[in-house]
Amino acid sequence: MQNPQDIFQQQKLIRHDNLLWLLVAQGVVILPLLMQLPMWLWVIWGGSLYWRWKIYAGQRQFPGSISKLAISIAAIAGLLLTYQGAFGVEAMVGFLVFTFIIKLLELRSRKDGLLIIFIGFIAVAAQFLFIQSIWATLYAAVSCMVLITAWKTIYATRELAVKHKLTSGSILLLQAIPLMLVMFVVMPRLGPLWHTPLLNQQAQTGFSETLSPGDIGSLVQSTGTAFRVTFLDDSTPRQSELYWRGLILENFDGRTWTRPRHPHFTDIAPIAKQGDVETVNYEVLMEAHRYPWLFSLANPIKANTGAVRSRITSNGLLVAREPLNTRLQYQVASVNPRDTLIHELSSQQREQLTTLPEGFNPKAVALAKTWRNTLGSPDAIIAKALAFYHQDFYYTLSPPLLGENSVDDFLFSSKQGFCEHFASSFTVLMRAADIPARVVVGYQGGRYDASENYWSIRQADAHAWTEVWLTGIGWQRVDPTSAVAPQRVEQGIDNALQAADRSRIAAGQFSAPQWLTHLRYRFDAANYLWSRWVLSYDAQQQNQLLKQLFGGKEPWRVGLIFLAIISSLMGCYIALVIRPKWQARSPLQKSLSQFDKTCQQWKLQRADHETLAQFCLRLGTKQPQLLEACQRLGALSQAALYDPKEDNQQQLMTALKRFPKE
Amino acid sequence: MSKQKEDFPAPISALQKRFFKWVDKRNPMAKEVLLNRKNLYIFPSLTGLCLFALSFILWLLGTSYQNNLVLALSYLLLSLMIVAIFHTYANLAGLTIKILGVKPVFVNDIAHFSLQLSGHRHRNYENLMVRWRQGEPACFDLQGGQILSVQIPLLANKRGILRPGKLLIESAFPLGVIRCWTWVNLQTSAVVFPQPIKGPFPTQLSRGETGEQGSGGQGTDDFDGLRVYRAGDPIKHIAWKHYAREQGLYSKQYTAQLQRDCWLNWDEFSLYQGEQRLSALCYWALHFESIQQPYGLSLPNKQIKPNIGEQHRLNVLTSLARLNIDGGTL
Repeated sequence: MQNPQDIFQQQKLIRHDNLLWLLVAQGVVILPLLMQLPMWLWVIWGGSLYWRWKIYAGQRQFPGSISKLAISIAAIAGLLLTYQGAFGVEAMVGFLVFTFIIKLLELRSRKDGLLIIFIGFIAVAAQFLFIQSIWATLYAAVSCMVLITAWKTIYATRELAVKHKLTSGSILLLQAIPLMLVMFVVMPRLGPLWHTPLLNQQAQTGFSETLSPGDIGSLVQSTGTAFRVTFLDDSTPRQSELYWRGLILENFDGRTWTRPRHPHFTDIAPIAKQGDVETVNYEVLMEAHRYPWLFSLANPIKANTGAVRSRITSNGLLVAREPLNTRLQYQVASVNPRDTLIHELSSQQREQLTTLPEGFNPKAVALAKTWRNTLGSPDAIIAKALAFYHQDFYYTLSPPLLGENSVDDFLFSSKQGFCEHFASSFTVLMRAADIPARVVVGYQGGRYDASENYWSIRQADAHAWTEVWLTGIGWQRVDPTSAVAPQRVEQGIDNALQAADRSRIAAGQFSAPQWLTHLRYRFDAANYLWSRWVLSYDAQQQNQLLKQLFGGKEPWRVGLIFLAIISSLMGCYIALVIRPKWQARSPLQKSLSQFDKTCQQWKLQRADHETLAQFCLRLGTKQPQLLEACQRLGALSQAALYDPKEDNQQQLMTALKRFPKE
Repeated sequence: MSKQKEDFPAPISALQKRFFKWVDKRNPMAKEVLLNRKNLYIFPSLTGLCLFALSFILWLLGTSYQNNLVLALSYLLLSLMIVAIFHTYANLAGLTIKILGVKPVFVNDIAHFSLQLSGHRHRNYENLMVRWRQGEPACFDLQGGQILSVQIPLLANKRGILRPGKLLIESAFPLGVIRCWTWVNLQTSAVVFPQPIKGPFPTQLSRGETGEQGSGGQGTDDFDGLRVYRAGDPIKHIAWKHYAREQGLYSKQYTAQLQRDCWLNWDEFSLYQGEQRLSALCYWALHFESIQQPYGLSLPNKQIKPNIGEQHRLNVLTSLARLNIDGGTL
């Protein structure tokens, strides 16, 4: 009696041809995750697939509970070993992927299939924890399409062509996307609900807390964008003015510059002088670099970092409370350092900022001392030093190795160096000449994208320079590199280096053919828009957008507007689809359907093939009290049919409408 | 077969009762029903609630990590659910169910009600589950333009007229998160014959003196003559030789057969009580039919003259089925 289809239906089993869909969907979903997870999960996946295939071919059984337990224990032990008990996100995702894979061995009923699909969606979400690029999103969209198709096949009871299945799956997805976008835009945003474990394997990028010779030289060789900036005012500073300050290094041990261990936080942020000061307002979209420092132009006086707490230090640096683990968008207002109040240096600070380690770099110290004795004024000393660099120094990415007295070696023998060599040696010279000085690291310049009006600052733009304290003026930036290679500051790093070095910065991106570079710039612009409008869309941006669109962000307003949109859509549907049909009916048809409704009260329904006269006869016999009305109606209907007077039809219609109701 | 599905706890069954009352008011009995927005009901299924929970989990994940793409995925699942409402509705709307009929059955047999399903010419109807309120489900697909005849089983557990009640048609296609269903009141009923139960034939026979009818049974005692064939005459009594000579179709008449016409008399089966009486009558009627013994039926309200053949059998059994023991017919 039962055909095979019924058996699948009633046992709620998954049809064999649909099983393949689930396997494919699972594979598509976990592929990007497996890249982030230990290698042995690949082996487990392969093994499970093989086993499931054998079950399908009828050569093996579904695993018993003991073997399932054994596999699970082994995998959990493996995860514990791999992550050394550090239960971060990776370990959790690893566990998720493992259960996902092992579920294959239990996959037989519809319920199991659904579970696979649901875990699949979680896996897609987990993938977003690792990567959020446009490509990853496109891949996720494909994953969703395959998942939805597999999901739909679970409920399909007949065999369909692959193309048919895929199109119907994509149709579902495409129909859902507009609705999703609306929800994405208007759904209220909340801040993080609790402290979340971090992804621990991802490396920190950018500057560390120390600077040794060669550090920046290796940083500029990495690709990637550090941050992107949009200036909110009409006027933008010139490229040579764009010194993005990140860190201030004050302690020197002869080779390496480090941050002060106990920074003298008087914590008075720079205050703009009274009166109107001109501010530079800009918005920074910072990539997650897993350090707390944020980059800004000197001197920030106001910063809005949204949900992330931050402060401006007395040094004029912007620092977040916690390392930056997600992309952050923040607005800063900076003023010209001259427009800020000058804090006098305490004698202790002065002392600290002019110390040098004993016994290192004697030649450099001696040179500076002679300058101090002969020239006297700090301005003259600075000019002298810059002139000294300008003579026969050489800006290169691959300087010779330096010995123990790195500054002496650099200044007097090799004379070849990258920005950190210049900044470091210049600071040493200044301190030796009793001028308070410090090394600042950050980025210089950037690439301006005219189409989207933003500056893209890459790792390749990493830079180091010096700030000196001048009495009566305050901290002043001096960039010794510009004395050697002015193009570095004015046109960017790719124009300042020789061809051999050029091919090394940003992993050779600058020596690529022009069309490729152009393509890369376009893609960078797309990434910028993506980051700015999609990835960084938060409560603040939502407020702005809703205010622009609807004039406010109150829930009732948004609700009302959507109600209006939906009702107008329905109105259109009624006006364009339903009403024409309704109007196409003749008046007689309308009164007939009204009569049919009346008759439903009398528990009798006119069949499609029945004429009005026949039906009246039937109704009259069934409901004797209606006999008279029925006979009249029957006669009228005949008259209207065979005696084509307008009057007859009219009479019939009135009779139909006024037929006695219960 | 079990009588499952309807044993809900009291509050739910009370709710269901109210729901059915409402359904009855909206959908009167009919021979043919077109499914549309007036008689289709739609609600998230358990899977749908799970999807809701999944969407919430993703929302939590996205919010705690401030990850907009995870949030978007969460909203995508919600949107899918909303889109599925329309798809699930469209999978049932426009379907026409027409009752074709049902063959009579014996008690404890399964009555197969024949329905005809048809739909829009260009629309497929996938994964339809159809069952009577107390019956087992049957599943179908209906492709565009197809007219499908299906049999929906229902256990006939009582003699008489089986009114199957409401027919459930449901589907959760395409995603299983939304369930769309309808309860239609179809005007149909099946005749349920009594269950044949063997028992001794009452002794005060009205059918002649010789005893056991089971053993003899050929009824071919003495050839009496020929008479013109009437529909219902046993095939083996046909005078084939005459037929072969193209003299016409005749039946051979036997004395024994004429004399031994027997009556199944309600009053004589008094040693059985109630339904058992009908069961015994039913058994003997079937028995006489199988041995080609003409038999008549005498009920308090009805008499059927002795005869034999398919039509006669149907008459007799239907009369048994329709007898109201307390008087009258069902």
